[in-house]
Amino acid sequence: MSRLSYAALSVGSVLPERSFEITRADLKRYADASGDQNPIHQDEAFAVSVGLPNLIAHGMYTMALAGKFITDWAGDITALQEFGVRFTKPVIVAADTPAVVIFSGSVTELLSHNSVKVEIQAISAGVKVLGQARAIVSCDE
Amino acid sequence: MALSPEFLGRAYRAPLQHVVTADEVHAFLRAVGAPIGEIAPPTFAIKLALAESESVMKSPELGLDWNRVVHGDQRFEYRRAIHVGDVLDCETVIEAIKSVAGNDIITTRCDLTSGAEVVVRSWAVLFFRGPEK
Repeated sequence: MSRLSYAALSVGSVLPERSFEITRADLKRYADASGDQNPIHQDEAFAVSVGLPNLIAHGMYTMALAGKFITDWAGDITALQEFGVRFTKPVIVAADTPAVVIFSGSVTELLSHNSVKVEIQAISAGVKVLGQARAIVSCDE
Repeated sequence: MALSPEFLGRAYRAPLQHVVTADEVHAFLRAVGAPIGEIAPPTFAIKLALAESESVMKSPELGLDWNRVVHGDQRFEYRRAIHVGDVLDCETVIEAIKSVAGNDIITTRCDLTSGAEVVVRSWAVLFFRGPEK
């Protein structure tokens, strides 16, 4: 895979906005792949019974999509040196229509060794679902 | 009941090594909509880290209620990507314990290592909600 060129980046360089749809079938697939079978991500009645508005996506599934957003931009699935997020609000997934998460971001710092720091935003149903979502990304020269 | 500060710094080594299989990497790649390959995506490490954290938190000496946990923050530091065929040891360390308004806030660090090499180090902040008043 060929990575993004460090020389072409500057502070403020944009990660082009992308949206990802999340269905309940995606959550089931993620639950099976990750081993996180918490019923708040699969059983609407249970989610509501513990005070949630509806079934919610795994925070780590949203983080996984954020990781894909950044590594697709970087051109390499192995480009991340560091990656962190805060789960600020849940992504709510209704039965009939997919939830949509819109990712955007920009380069906030140029680092040594052809690396850059990026900060991203993740919005679903108008609400910020990740906070302090940052990564250090390795680039080519 | 708040978790005793005596657990601060306590380290737990997973009893078994984890052999990363093609099936689990492919399932994770498929779940996040990535092309199938032999390299795991960045958040794959959580599959091992969270399972281990769950078993530590539920152990009788800590006795925390995993049903009341909310994942607050997650961070990873990568030395390299995880590959199919990696044989990984997992050590979980309790790095911080706070008690706020009846909730336990616990930071765990998980080191996934291959021999002497740390492959991925991750931190999770877990909120254990106290009993309803």
